[in-house]
Amino acid sequence: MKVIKNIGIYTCVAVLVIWSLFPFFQMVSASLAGARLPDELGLPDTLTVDNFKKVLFQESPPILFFLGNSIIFALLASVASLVISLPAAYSFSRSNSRGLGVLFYVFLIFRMIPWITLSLPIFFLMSKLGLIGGKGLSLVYTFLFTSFGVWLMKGFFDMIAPELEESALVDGASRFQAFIKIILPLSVPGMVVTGAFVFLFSYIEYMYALILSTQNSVTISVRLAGYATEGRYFYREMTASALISVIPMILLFSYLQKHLTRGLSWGAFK
Amino acid sequence: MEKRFYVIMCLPAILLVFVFMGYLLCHCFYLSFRAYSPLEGIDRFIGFGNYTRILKDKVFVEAILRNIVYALLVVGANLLLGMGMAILINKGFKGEKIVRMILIMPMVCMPTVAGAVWVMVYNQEFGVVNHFLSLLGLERQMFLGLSKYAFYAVILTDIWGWTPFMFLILLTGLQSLPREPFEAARIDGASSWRTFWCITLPLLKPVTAIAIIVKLIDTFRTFDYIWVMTSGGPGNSSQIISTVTYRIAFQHFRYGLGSAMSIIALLFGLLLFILFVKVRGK
Repeated sequence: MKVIKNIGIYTCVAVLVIWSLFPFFQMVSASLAGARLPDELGLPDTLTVDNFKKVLFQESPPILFFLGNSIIFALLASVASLVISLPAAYSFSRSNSRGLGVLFYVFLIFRMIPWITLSLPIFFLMSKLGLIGGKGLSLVYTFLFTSFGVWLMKGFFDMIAPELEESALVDGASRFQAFIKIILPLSVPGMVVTGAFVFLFSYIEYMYALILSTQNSVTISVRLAGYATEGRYFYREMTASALISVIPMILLFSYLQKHLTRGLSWGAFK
Repeated sequence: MEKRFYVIMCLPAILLVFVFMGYLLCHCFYLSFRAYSPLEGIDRFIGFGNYTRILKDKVFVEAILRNIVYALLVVGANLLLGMGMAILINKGFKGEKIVRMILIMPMVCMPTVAGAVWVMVYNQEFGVVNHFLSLLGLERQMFLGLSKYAFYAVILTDIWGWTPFMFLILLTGLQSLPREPFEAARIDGASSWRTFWCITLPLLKPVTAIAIIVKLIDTFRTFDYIWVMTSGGPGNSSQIISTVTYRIAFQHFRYGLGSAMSIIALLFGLLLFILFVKVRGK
């Protein structure tokens, strides 16, 4: 009976693994293709790393330029939104005021506004302020994800017992000192997870990157979409670039896997 | 004294989000009541003109209906598949950590990348899907080129891409359930199906509800997959709210109309939020 159960489990696992990975397999085989694109399932006739070389060194601008843009904007957004949302999340967590309670709910509503609604006004506002391009995009991402940061970090702060600060306050510390010296060090896992999610969302974002792009600030997501033009799909370059672009995210998430599940449970269950 | 401290701490976030958001919303609202097309030099107040025009426009109305279908199909599949994955991983087996990482990978892959790769996957000549069709003796199809298939092809891609999100949330939920009810059920001799249906599911309801609502709202925002794979085509067969709005606003430069469409999309979001509050209240 146990054997049948095990076979059942491993079969399901195999199916799910194949389902999750097969597009990646196609990506890898197309990126290694030479003159002829791979024939369906198999690897291509001629294996070559030329596509990677082309995309990394020969194209102008090279892929690392776009990658760099994406990473910089995502990093700016995740740091900025963390800095802004941490104090607010702490206040929502510790304060007993009903007014702030209502405000927190309103933050949740903002998280739910469809982005397309804001796209035109943002485009107009950014043009008027002269903030098209990288600066504008980072600002927009910060703005879009701060409500997410507030929501998630409040959950983390709620997990930390208030008694810890109380004892510090009794000893004469100010609220602010208690926050900085006690709460923040304890919530490093939560901060890391929140920052990682904001980084992910900013990195993969496409619509605003497209709307606000200038020549110098094209992100990797826009660049990749550009390989799939109306007339032709440049499969080799596209898949080579795509594989390179996935690397930072894989590194980030495999490093964070330990934190991730714990983090989600703290945030989602309040 | 303390209250002042809290308020000050909140200020940057509140300023950034509320003020920014408030201004943007007002601007959007304002535009939606005007005909504004700078390229043609049009700029005048037309009251509800945009709204009536949109609600009478076949393409937009179809896009709304299609968006609803999109949302239901995607979230439904996310739920089923994600729950399956979560239960499987929760059972525990050798190598589960690696499998968990593998299952997350589609989410980590950019929608633009995933969309482009799935274009390859659906390709008539060398895509995987058609390869299997030909093995089964069926005719190869141009999935993204035919109006009857394109929309559903993108739905499948979306399911592939975002099920890991639902999976992670459900898995976390499963792993934080208390042991006692399950012990009691086991002692009483309940079958695993019964246990799942009568104990697991009801206990998971709060989290599942949140995940569903969040995901539903996300599908009304969705843009990337469809735009990269079909741009709303062929014809208008895969247009959804965000693609129609994008096309009108950023390709035809009719900003008044585009803003009105956005406001309608917002109303959907609000509707879903009210649902969210009601469900959470339970």
